[in-house]
Amino acid sequence: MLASATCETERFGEERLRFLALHVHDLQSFKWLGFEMGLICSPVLTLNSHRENQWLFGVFLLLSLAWLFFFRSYGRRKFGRTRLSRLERLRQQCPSTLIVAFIFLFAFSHFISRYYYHVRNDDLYGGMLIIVGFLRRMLDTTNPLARRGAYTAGLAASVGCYLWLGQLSASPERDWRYLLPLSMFGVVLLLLSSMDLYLLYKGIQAGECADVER
Amino acid sequence: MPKDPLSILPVPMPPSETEKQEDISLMVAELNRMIHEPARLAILTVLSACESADFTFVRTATGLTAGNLSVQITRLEEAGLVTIEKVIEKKRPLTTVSLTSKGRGELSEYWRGMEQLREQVRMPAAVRPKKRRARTGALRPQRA
Repeated sequence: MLASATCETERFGEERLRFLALHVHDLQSFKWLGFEMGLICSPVLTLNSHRENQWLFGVFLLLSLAWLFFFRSYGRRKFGRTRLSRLERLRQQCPSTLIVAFIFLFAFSHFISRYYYHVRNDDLYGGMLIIVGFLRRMLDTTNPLARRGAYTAGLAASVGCYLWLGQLSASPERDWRYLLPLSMFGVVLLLLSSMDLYLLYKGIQAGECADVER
Repeated sequence: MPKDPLSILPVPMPPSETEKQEDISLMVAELNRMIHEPARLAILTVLSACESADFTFVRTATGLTAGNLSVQITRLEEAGLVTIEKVIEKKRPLTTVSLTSKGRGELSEYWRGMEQLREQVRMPAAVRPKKRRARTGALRPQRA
């Protein structure tokens, strides 16, 4: 009984440590907070091209960059760094399933969306990049189920919001209704990056508890 | 004279609970002691997932204190399981640790042994194969 329990505990610890080692950089997506806030505030920032708005946009961009560099250096000091093998990086970045998914999305977007939803080309390619980015995390089996599920829900919410709100205003003019899906996407990204940070802290805390037991 | 000539032979009895315990104890004793220690196992597991990791990350992930981690890593280096590299980056010392090929092999061997142990524990005593040291050729217990 004791031996079995030891095996189970060690396997659980192994999974947690492996996940942390593989995704420590990936889980620090909170560094993109500035850009996520930018997406959320995009209807305000880009609604009209007054000089004040341009200044506001510039200041926002500078603050976002400052936050990015600050959080990156904080993450290095707080969590440390790992270097993944070339094979692992390749597996994470470009699994064959993604290529298949990309081809499928390309075909879908060109032959179906164009005629039924009247999607513009720049939205189309931008959207596909976003979907591929989400799929990267959803299809990665080293991620826990909760994270994969959250990314799936996030992608569904973003695409659903675009298809629903995009229909309200199909005109190429950038009005607030056109930018609303972008804000929604910013909210989704913010929630996901907060969850990633929570997972990172939770993983570390589990390690601290294990050390107390030792 | 009995009808079945084999019936006079003694009936083989299933292994007793004591034998079962002996088998498991033997398997536990055969595990690599250098790896089986929880702190060292945690360090090796972290390093097995990546090419190299810095001291801060290993300390954060395993939850060990800096002093304890330093001692354990030195022991692992002495056993030839990890390599330590110290560089100066932006005027700050950066210590990176990586698993050697020997370390990687011994860690996978250790996990294989643990899997066998788990199967042995779960298996009912009657169907469990008798564990023999000479057949398995597994590692003898080492001093930590």
